[in-house]
Amino acid sequence: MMAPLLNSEPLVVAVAIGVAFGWTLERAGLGSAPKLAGQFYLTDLTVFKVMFSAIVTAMLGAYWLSRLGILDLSRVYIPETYLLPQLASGLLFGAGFVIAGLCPGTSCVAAATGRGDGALVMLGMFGGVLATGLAFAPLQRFYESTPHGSLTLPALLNVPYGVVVCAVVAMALIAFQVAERLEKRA
Amino acid sequence: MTRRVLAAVAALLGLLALLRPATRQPKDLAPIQLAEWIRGRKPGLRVIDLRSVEQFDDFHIPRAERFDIESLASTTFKPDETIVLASDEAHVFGDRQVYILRGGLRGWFDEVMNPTITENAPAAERAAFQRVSDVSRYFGGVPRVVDKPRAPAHTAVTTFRRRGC
Repeated sequence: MMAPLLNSEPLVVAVAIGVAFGWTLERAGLGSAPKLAGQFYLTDLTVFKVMFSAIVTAMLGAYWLSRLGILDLSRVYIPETYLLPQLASGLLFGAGFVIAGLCPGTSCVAAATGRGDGALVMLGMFGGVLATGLAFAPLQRFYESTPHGSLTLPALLNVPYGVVVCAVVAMALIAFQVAERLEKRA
Repeated sequence: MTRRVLAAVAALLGLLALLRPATRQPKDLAPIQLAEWIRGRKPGLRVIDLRSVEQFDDFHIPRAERFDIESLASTTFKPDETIVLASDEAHVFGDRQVYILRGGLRGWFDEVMNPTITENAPAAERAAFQRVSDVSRYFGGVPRVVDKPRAPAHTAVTTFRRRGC
C-alpha cells in the first residue's frame, strides 16, 4: 500500500509547486493577455520584472545553498543545448506569445480563472504538442542537430560561478531601473 | 521601500558571491600510509583510480574503484569519506579535502610492493623499514635489503607482474 504513495510523492510536490506558481502569476496580474502584450510595446514590463526576479531569486538561492553545502549543484539536471532547433523553437514560441498574448503558464492561469482566451491558447498549445509528436519522424534530424551538451554560463565563459551570479544580479538591478523608467514614460 | 530592501539584499548576495570559496589543496599521501589505511580497513576510505579500464584491469590497488573524470565530477561523496586519488594529477574538489597518492601507481609499487633498505642503514631507518615490511608482505610485496640505495627510476607495473606475485 505504501509503494504507490511513495512513488507519487514527486507528483504531489509538482502539483503543489504548480498551484503555488499559478497563484503567484495570477496575483502578479499575469493572467491578463493585454498586460502580457504590453511587454512587447514597452508599456507594461510586469512579465519581465516578475520572471527576472524569479530567476535572480532561484539563482541566488541555488548558489548560496550550494556554497553552504545544503544543495549539491552537480545533481541538478541541466537540459542539453541544441543550438539551431532551440533558436527556431524560441522564435516560434515568441511569435505565439505575441499573437496570443499569453505563454504556456499564463494561459493555464487565464483558463483557470475562466478566461476564454486562456482556454483557447491551451487548446492551441496541446494541438501543437500533438502535431509535433505526429510529425516527429521527419523533424527528428533537425531536432537533434547542433548538439552542445549541458552548457552553463560559467563553463561557456570560463569564469567562476560567483562572477556570473554577481553579473546577473547587476544586470537584473539595472534592467529593473530601466523598466521602471520605460513604464513611467509610457 | 520593500523593493529597495530586496534589491539591496540581492546586490549584497551577488557581491558576496564574488568571494571565492576556500579551496583546499590536495594533500600528498605516502603510498605506505594508504597501504596502512587499507590494511586497517579505515572507515569511509575511497580509493579512486582515474586510469583507463585496461590499466585498471591490468592492476589496481586493493579496494580501488575506477572512475572516469567525467563521472567523478558528478559523483557525490559523503562528508565523512576519505578520498584518495590514485593519479599523478591534482583535481579540483572545491572545499573538499582530497589526497593524491604520491607517485601514483608507481609510487605504490616502489614503496609498498618493493620497499628496499641498504645494509648499512641507521637503526631508526631499520625500525621504520620493519613497519613498512609488515605492510608490504600483507599485500604480497617483497621487501629487500640492497647494497646501495635504489636508483630513482620507478619499477614498472609490468615488471612487477612478471614476477608472478
